[in-house]
Amino acid sequence: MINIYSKWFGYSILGILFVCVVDLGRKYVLDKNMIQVDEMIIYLAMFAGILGFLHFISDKKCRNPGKIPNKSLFYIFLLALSVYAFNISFTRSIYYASDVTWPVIMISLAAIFIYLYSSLFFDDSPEFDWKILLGVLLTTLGLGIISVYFKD
Amino acid sequence: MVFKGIWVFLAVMCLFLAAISDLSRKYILDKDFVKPNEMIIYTAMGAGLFGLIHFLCDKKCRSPKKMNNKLLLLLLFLGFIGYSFGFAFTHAIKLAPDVTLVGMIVSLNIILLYLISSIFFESSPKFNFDVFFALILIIIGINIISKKF
Repeated sequence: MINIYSKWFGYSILGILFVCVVDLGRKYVLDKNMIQVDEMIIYLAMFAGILGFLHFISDKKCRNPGKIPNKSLFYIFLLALSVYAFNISFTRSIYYASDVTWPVIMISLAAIFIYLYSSLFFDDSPEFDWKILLGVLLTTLGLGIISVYFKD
Repeated sequence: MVFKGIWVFLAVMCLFLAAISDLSRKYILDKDFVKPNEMIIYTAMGAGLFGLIHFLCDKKCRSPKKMNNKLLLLLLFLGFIGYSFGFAFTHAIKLAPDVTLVGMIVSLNIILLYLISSIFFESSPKFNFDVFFALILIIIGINIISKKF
């Protein structure tokens, strides 16, 4: 059973609220034609970069890049690349979709891939369990039903 | 059927990119290559760098001077909330026994997104009670996962 008093659960709940504000905010700005899609992608990334720099300056425990192994830096570079590519696809997707919920429903299916991969290949993750996969599939089914009942 | 159009292709791309991004974060943190805060900082700075390159390459992108202050403030706010999400998400996956759990909980944001967008957004479809059945299925699914872990 998940311990709802654990730190990671609290962070996840915070994550729900933050991602809602960001997704709805993006869709609101795009719907109002206040900005072009590419401009939003660019400025959000640049603001995130500035915030990251401010965080870097204020966090005394953060090592400078010279003290981090090249292999780790390379992984971080690839991660930043995938995050930026995700932002491009996501921002364009919510721009073209009639409702911001649609793309988010599809993206939530990533949980299935993440579960399969992490349980099969990650040493620290729990072993693969068919019952958990059933839970994931039920969740997906629920998301699918939402998509059918939505009147576009 | 609502799943048609260019946004579906883009959303499917997002699906795979999100899976790659989340799994990579968990892998790097599990192996202790970097600390969570270092990951948050350098990923944001890396994305900022890509944003700057994109800005220099895209001739149609207006400079900040040509935008109104209200819009820039809104973007700064969204950037801040996005950064806060990155902070909360990275710490959550570092502490959680499995990255899937965090992903599943965060995916519950669909419920809030649907409620808010259907009620308050003019261009979104109207609220529909039928979706509650589906939402119950989602919650049952989450409960099965949480009890079996």
